[in-house]
Amino acid sequence: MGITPAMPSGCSLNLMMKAMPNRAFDVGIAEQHAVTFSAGLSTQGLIPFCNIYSSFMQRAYDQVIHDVAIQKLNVVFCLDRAGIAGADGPTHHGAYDLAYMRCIPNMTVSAPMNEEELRNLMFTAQQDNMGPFVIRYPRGNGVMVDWQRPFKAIPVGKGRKINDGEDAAILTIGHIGNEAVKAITALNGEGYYPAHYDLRFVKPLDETLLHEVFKKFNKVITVEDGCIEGGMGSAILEFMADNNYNAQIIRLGIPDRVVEHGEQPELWAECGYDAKGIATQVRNLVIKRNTHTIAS
Amino acid sequence: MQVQAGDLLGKINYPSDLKKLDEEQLEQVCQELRQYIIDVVSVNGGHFAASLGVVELTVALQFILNTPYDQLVWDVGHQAYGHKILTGRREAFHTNRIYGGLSGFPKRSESEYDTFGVGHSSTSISVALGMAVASQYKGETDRQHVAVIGDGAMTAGIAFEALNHAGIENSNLLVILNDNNMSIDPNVGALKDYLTNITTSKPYNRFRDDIAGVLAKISSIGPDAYNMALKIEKSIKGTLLKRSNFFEALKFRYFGPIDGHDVKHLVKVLRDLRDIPGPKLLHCITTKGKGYALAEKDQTKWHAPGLFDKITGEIKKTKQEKPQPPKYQDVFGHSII
Repeated sequence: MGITPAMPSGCSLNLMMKAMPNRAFDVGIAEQHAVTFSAGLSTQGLIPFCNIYSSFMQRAYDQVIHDVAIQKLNVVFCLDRAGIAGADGPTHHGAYDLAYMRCIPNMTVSAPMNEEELRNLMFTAQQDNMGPFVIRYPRGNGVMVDWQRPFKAIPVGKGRKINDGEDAAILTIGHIGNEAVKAITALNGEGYYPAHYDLRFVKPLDETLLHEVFKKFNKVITVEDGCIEGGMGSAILEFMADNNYNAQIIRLGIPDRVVEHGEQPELWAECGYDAKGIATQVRNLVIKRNTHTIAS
Repeated sequence: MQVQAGDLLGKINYPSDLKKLDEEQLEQVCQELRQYIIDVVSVNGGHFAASLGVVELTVALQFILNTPYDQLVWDVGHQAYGHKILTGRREAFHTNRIYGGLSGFPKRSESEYDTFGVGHSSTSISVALGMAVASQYKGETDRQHVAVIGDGAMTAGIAFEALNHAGIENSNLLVILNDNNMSIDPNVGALKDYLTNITTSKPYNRFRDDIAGVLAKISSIGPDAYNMALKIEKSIKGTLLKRSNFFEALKFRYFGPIDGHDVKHLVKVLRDLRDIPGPKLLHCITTKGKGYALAEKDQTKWHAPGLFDKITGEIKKTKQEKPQPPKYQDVFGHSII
């Protein structure tokens, strides 16, 4: 089932409303209702995909906790416009969802780095007994031209290594990871070789992956298109404290102030987590190597 | 790119300049304001159809109200471009929504005419009620408080919550229902059908203006006459609408529906309503995209069309040599099927 509060063309649920009108609902500007209506569908064994802009989901927070999470209902929350939203400005930036979702019990919180990952997370989320499942993705284009690949389930809470490296690790969540990829491409040409991990899930965290990271690296940069306070970087700090790791951490993301309007790349740059900003942090953090010893 | 404003609009920097004009000139102001929005948005992008739909309402409100002393709250704020242009920001309007430029929504830090920061829908009635109760508490009985809210935004819970509260407060609140039958997409739900019913009730439409006119006159005579008129009005409305009016049931005085594109009539009605105390609702029928034929026809597409050729209506798309990655939104839309 697909549910949208008055954004069928914005979130592209209009495709489903056309193809299967009895399974897709525009409920009007009514986010609270959209969530609890989805909860109702879920109690009857259906799996609703409730698609709400990240910043609009702020209006339905009690419904997420009280009507879905406490009861462990299988509702998939697709949070559109997550991260910097662009020209609509601060009222529309989806800055807070990673922070406000990851503190809720029973919740799975994920973000795809590309189109194929989005499809696979959607496929994963609708499997049996998943409970409440958040998939957050930004406004606009992904990075894959050839994106319609066969569905594959992703183990919940499993991240992935994008590339190995030395001296520092970059941990990213979601689409903004592609900025880290660009940064690393540039850095490799200059003699810097940071590793890159895409966490995929902010909750549950991939603890195996994080143990690997903190055993190997004592300089770590976290990058998220979301608020620094309480977000993915905070989750990493909690993991470190709980497991007695020491490392130098730089957290990149949306700072604790109101970010005004502008194009997404302009605002990523302003907040210091576009490819250029990430590269600068790596340069400041590690000593340049003359030789690269990692086998590619 | 700087766009040239028309003869009258070019002289209006603030609502005080608008008030110097004759009522007869307001139609031309509307025409020039509409053209200005089309000219600027076509080359700069931004929200489009919503602002075109409230040009007359914007001009009439600024002509009658004493802003910024009187508090005017735009719900959501997509539609506030005309408001921005008439309140000190015409010259800067070409920077709308651009990095470092004007905000696409009303914003308190940008202008004292922007009474409340908006962006998410359906907050305006609650806010305007808060303002109205504050004025009442402070004894500022001459102060007007107006919320302009669309029929789409009216479907959200908080709007009903606010109506429900406003009905028991006797503060000076005017809710203007900007009924264009649209959200970004066509509006949905039962309230929509209800509003359409009112709009098409012919006998009621015939009497609607007389009621507003008579009431305004009687209300200036004295409280007894005013109460009597109230009863008459209620019985007429009750009979003509056959069932009770939803807003009246919530203790609002309901006026309308009226043509939201007839600026002269709007001025007259708004002037009358200024003197009627308590919570009032004025139902205005408008067309999203009014005055730009293509936008009237496909209102969803023209909600925020991007850059376009204002003569041909061709929406400019950057041509790509290679196939491009899709939007995440479309990946969702296709994958869920």
